Amino acid sequence: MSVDIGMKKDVVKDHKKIYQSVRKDVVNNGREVAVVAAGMTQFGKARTDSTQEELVMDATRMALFENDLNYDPYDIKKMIDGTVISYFSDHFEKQLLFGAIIRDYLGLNPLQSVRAEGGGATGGLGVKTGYEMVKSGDADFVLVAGFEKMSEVSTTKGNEFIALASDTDFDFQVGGFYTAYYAAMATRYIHEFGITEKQLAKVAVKNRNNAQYNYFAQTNSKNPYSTKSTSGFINIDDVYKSNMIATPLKRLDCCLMSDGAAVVLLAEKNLARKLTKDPVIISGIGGGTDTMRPGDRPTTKGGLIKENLLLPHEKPEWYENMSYPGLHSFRAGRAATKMAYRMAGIKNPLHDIDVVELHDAFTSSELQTYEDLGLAKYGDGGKFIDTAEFDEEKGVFKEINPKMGDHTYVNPSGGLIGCMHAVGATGIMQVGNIFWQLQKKMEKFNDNDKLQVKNAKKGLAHSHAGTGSDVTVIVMSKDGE
Amino acid sequence: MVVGEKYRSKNREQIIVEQPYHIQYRHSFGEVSKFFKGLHEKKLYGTICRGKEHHMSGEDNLFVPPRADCPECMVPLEEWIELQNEDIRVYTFTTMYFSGENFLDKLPLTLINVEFPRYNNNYSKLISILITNEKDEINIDKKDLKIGMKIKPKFKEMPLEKIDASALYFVPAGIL
Ligand SMILES: [Zn+2]
Repeated sequence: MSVDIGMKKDVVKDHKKIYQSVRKDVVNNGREVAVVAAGMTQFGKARTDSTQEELVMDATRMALFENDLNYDPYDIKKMIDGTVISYFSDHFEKQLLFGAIIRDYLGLNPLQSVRAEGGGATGGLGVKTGYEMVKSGDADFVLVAGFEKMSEVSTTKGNEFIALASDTDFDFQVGGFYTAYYAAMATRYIHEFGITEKQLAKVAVKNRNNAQYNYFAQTNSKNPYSTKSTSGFINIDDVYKSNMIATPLKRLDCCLMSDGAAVVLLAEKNLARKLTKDPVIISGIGGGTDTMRPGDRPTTKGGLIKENLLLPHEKPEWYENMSYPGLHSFRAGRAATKMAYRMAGIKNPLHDIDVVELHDAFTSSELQTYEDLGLAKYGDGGKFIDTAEFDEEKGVFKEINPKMGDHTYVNPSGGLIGCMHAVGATGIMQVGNIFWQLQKKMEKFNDNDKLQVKNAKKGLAHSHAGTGSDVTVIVMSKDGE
Repeated sequence: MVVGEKYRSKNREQIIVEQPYHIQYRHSFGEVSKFFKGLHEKKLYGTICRGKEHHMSGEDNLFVPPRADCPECMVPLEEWIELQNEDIRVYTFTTMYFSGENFLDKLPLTLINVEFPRYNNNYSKLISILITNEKDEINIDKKDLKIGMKIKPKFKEMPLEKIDASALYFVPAGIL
């Protein structure tokens, strides 16, 4: 059964009680989609050594040649029957239709292709679009390539370009800067839930220090494209002492601007099983949206329940008296999560999911996203980071890639704060990392096993656009799990 | 050798050039032009929808920034209301010490989202600038800057043909 129209009518008639925010049924046409390969470049503040298409070629070569596929890479390339090219900005390199250059450069004409774009969630939407092509039967084997090169303009011009993704008649005219929008959200989030500066700073310490073991990460001081002043290990005092950007967010609370590319190959499940002995199944996928101006988000008492956004393990009485979403919440994140969990049959995320790559645009957004993913109750994101063992004296976590909750690991790659945010590549880099985690290949690609989550069976990649306008959530499982 | 090493080109020669690019846009504010004309006339306008039966809140929807159509009722909105003398509060705030290129010369600068407590606030938490010291326009985060603080709108002189949302700013209600 695909769509139950009768059900939709009832919901519309009864809309004052409950809104249908999330698709009810999973379309079942017998097709499933798997990830079979991933590749990415080393990320850097300025990869002036290569053009954008050259970087995408590097990531594509890695995907085809280094993922232990069962056939000759040239034969595998000939099986590709569709591409998705995901990139955010036309401004950063003043090039429209960049996708055409990429397809041409990779030798993938005249295959069907589409651009995916949705702000910071561009990469996640790219994977979701590729998933849809394969799921629908329009294609069996799709290459999803994402990239961004943000270094061709100054950092302040770059901030301005990114801010063109906010409402240019209103929000942009008075601030012109995403850190400020998130900072205002964080001020209110702290006010509502009593989040501490330390809880925010811990996120930065965790992600930045994880990144030191990620071969590809921009802040890894061994990366030849890293910048000295923004690489290496940090402790919590470094975060406190870093320059204030917009209260309460300091320099080390913020994600990076990056150059680089990432690629994944998606195949129909039966084909995937022929291509690799170790396919990773996309077992749940979802999308959500919210108002572009966070100030336009409703503040409805019990809104979380009224909008049908309770996750499977949550109880209505937790949130009945809370106003939701308000300016400080990512309703899109919950909508995407609910959709993905329903499809994947996730009943209790804290129990079911082993490893998460989530969109830590800012330390505050990582805490908020724990809540949206159901790893913590709404409002309890700060408490979840406190479940990881912290060495108070040294101001760092006792372990690299610390365990949170019972067996959850969040942003082993270092995320956007430690690894990179080359916007169109980010969501694909996350899916690539979860793929390698479930294949137990972190050691192969990083040359150390510090970031490998042992016995990881289910992972999740969360991609998010500025102030939460677009979110995708992708649940991935080892074949047979 | 780390896998990724294989994919780094050995070719290290690179030429980098400067390429300027300038754009001028001819932009219309369309059906909410009245809001911007209002700023020019030192008035703060919003639009309002009274189609309560379709609103999730069950109350009137106030739109600031204004919308020409209600997303819940799907009807064009003709009713504009003046808000400059309303009770207006700080809903949230941040003080920026860094910014996009277009605001660098104004730093530090405090941004706020405003709240109109008389309305349901579902579509009306406008983002704007808060000036705490009007005399020299130096605007740093003050200890008295807090959520719930009463504020009032002020208007900057701007020619109508160049007007934008920064013609509006707020000051603490205590300051003249
Ligand atoms: Zn209405």
